[in-house]
Amino acid sequence: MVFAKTELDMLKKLQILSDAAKYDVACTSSGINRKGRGATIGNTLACGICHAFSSDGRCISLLKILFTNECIFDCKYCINRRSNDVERASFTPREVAELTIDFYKRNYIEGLFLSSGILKSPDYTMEQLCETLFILRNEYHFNGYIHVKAIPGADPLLIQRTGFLADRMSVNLELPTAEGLSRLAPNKNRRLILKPMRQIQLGTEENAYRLGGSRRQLPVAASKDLPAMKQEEKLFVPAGQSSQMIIGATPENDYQILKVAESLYQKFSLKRVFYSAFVNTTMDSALPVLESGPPLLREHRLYQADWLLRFYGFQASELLSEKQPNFNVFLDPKCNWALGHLEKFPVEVNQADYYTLLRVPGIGVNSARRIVMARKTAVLDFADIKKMGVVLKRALYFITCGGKMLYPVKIEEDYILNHMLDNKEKLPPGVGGAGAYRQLNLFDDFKFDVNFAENNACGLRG
Amino acid sequence: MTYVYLCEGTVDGIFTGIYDAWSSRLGHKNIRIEVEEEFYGAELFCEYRKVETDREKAEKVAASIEKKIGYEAYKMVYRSALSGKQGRADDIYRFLILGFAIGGCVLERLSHPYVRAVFERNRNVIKELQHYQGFLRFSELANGILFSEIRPANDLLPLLGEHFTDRFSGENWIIYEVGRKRAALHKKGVPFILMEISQKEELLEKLGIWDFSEREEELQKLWQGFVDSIGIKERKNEKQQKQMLPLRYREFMREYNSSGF
Ligand code: SF4
Repeated sequence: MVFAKTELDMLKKLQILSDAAKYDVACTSSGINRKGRGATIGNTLACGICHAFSSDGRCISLLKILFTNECIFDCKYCINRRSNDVERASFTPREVAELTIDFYKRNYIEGLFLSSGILKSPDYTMEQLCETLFILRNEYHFNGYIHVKAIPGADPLLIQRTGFLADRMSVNLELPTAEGLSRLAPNKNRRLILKPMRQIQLGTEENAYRLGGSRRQLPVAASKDLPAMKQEEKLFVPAGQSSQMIIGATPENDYQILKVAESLYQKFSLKRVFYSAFVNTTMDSALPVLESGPPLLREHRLYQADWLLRFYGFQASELLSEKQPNFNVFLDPKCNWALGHLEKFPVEVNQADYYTLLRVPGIGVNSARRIVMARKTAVLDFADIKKMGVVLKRALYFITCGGKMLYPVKIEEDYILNHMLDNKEKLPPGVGGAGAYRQLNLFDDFKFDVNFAENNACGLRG
Repeated sequence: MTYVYLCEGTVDGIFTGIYDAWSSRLGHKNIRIEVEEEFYGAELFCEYRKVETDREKAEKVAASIEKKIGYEAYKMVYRSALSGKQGRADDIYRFLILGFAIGGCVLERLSHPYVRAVFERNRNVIKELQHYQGFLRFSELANGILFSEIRPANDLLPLLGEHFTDRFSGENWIIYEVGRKRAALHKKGVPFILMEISQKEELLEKLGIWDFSEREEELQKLWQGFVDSIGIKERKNEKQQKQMLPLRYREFMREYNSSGF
């Protein structure tokens, strides 16, 4: 037998295809709890687990790889675009499955995050991804976490099959507007991206039937190419879907971006939207040259604002507007909002309702909950709420305890602004200056706030 | 006169100590509970009483915590008993005095020093546990057993044992706690057990295995390759990396000190 090209060894392949996947930021694991079962390997914890940290300080939780970078598309921002001269490689479904199991058993990872370039055609690629998951779930009985990309333009049937094997699926929006997309990704279009998103949304909504007593079987036509799947007991994408946008490759402002994110949450029931500061790897003439490196501070502000949308009851139009379409470089979005709404302050800690407390700078989800709980039995003072995690030097302009403010301060925009700028906001290292950046997805301060205490049952069941 | 109850450092030991102290009726303020390994010689005006660990007494204490204060509080106390910082037995005792007096709402009294002490221990244990759930590394021995070494500040072995029993129920694995010289051993399909083992060598000798499996070295290389290539150069940030993965966790992580193999 003659081989047309020599097989790359596994290490080389892994290097090429993890290198190619590293710009994908959507690497949080889980969001669901699933206990281990006999005769299977693995479980998942809703809080997710970081197994290592890469040299850029980001959490490594999943085996994050591309199935292939032998891509037939030519997206201008992508290092793997057809016209770019990079080393190419593809895995086989079995290789990915084995590697996942071997890594998982050594406790290197929580599971697999499988993305891919377009090999031959969207259908062919989706088939390969589906096959990989099938081997993992049904041959290796892998019960850990799997996040897989749905390839726009692939047969909905393939997406459906894959969805019953995956925990999370994502379709990347890539760029905030359809216009930007058609300019930078000539082979893609917005409609083809939204279609599988809708399909996944509808599929997950039906999980309620699958769980309930009146389990309704979905009619799935059998195709001879793919192995048949047992549908009973299986849930469709139980951890929901996420998406990702590149920030700074196209001229959209923060307001447009946040609006898009908001509608993805509301209209497509997304679990997470990820923002990826644009790193110029291709130097295409259609792309902006970023003198000061990737727009990390902007990305940071967007994550903060995103957090406010999801957990603090804010709306995009409260944080930004046509007139003021970009975030303040110097202030986090919540402070910025509070300064623009001084008429709502100060609020009384012992009386204000939970959502009002949440809007106070320096009070997070966790401290707000603690306050609400603790004030049932006692009248709270500044010393008490400090112990509960309230950052007083930020909150002091906006609250009273027992009718009194901490210091006699003026409730006036310039005055507060000056004081706030004096005690500097703690930015993740690298953001807003030279150097690198920190992954905000998993461990930003906000998240810590939410994760601890309430969720401490996580991993400590029984 | 202060009466000091000296108990074993295990959860059963501490709970027995609490049982004995409680039923002595000497008055809570005259009592202190200490674990033996934290005892560094007698103090003046103290009477020392040695506690014999008694499973039944310990279970009674556990049951009353659950019944009178609630399951959430029980879990918190249990984890605090695993905490590695000095003084855990007495902290728990104080917390329980308050808890038995006022019931489940003790958990809401966050500003009370007795409550705060247990909360902090609990939180510290959870935090370290979460780290070890991620940073613990298994290597495959030649006979297929997954083997791991750890050196946590808190006594995490029982909690990690639970976690990995759920995750790897179908595998044979061993976690050896270097500092406390104990191992959690799990055999496919049955619950794990804890065992005192003075040295890793003793353990390996018992198993009759010294080598890693054939694939082990290759797999470690693959993993190392992955970790190296997944970092984004433009965002290099070692300070951040160190902050998220402090050096003390890296002792047994070969991808960060590859000389070990
Ligand atoms: S489809 Fe576009 S973004 Fe995806 S790998 Fe191919 S060129 Fe890159």
